[in-house]
Amino acid sequence: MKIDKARYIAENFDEVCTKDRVFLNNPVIFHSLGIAPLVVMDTSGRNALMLFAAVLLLLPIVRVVPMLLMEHFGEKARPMLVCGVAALAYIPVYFILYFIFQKNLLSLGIYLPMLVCEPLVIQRFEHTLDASISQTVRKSIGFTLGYGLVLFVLGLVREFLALGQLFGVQVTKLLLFPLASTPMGGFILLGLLAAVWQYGLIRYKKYVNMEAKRTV
Amino acid sequence: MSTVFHDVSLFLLYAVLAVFAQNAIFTRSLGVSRMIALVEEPSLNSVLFGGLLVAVQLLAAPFGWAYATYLAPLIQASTPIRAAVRPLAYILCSFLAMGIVWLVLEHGIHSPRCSELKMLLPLATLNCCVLGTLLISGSQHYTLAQSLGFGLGSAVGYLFAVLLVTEAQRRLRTDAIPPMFRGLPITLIYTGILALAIYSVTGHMLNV
Repeated sequence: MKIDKARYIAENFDEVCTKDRVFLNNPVIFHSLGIAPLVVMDTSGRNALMLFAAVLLLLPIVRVVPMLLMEHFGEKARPMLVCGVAALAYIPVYFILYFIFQKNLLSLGIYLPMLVCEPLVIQRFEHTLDASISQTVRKSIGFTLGYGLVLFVLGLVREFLALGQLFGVQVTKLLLFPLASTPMGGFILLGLLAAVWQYGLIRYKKYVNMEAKRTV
Repeated sequence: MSTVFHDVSLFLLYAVLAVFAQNAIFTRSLGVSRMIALVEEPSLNSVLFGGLLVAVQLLAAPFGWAYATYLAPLIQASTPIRAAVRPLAYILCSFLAMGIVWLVLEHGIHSPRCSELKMLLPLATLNCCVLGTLLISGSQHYTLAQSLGFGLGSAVGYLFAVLLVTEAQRRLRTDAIPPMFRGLPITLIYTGILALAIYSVTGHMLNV
């Protein structure tokens, strides 16, 4: 890494982390958002794809629309406004998902409609809304990509361990960890994934500090 | 009279079921993100949150039951419309419950904790545990007694899980835990082990 870049990152590590919503400030690993669908439903690559599509369609709408309507409703109505927008936005989003995935959506059970109350989607009701649409859209895209990364990694790992498959294709007949398809397996594997991720962050920080102290 | 006894026994049975065998956190992972926020934020009073959750669940359950029994059948099941409007309908049930609780806090209770309760009320209402419980009760076609029992049990079970994990967090704040496992990782692993313990008690088959 170039010394200037390393020094900048080392001196502004917290700021750099805040802006990177995919790796260094992942919404699942560092903010504990969106855990319910991950633990119960993210058991295969196909489910991960459906959940990612749902969040991709829902999250930007639920972030931007309340911001535009806030001035008409007032601060006290913020929680109901954000949740109401999420529930209304879910209707067209569900039709789009149904058009793409058909009856495969049923495999997500109650965890697809539950996205309407999932803190990943409605978290903003606890905080003051962002100042600009561009900032809101940028943050929501970052959050969606970060969540999608965890969805796919966890979903594929669980599918492989529990069923020996990847995206429904049988890779091995050896079932290494059948418990991976259950919620308790989901909790444990997500915990291990979070530990590996945190280890990566610690190593990255050490690497950046080492590079910043380099004189040549 | 026998109908009353039958309904009361169903209410109690479903309440106990929802606290232990079908615990909102350990079995269904409803509201885990909120639970972790409660555990990690000492300024949020978990017991007050649990009390509000019980009130909202008990009040939302009859509204949810009424929607599932009388309004949902009016929408054709073969179309995706019913599935698409489900969350909106149940969110409105939660809003009604929240409104009633808010009115009671505003005009019925005069306590120094009222402002704290009002601050926690949206967090307790707009919660995956509330929406998830209503969705489960609706999709399983529970009767009113079953819905009320399941709602009460889900809220009590949620509070039980929060208190268990809070106590565990207190004990897990030790240097013996490697840095990469501190915080969320060890909390999730601990929750998973508790879920495994409950599964072993209730008995589940793995699809092997």
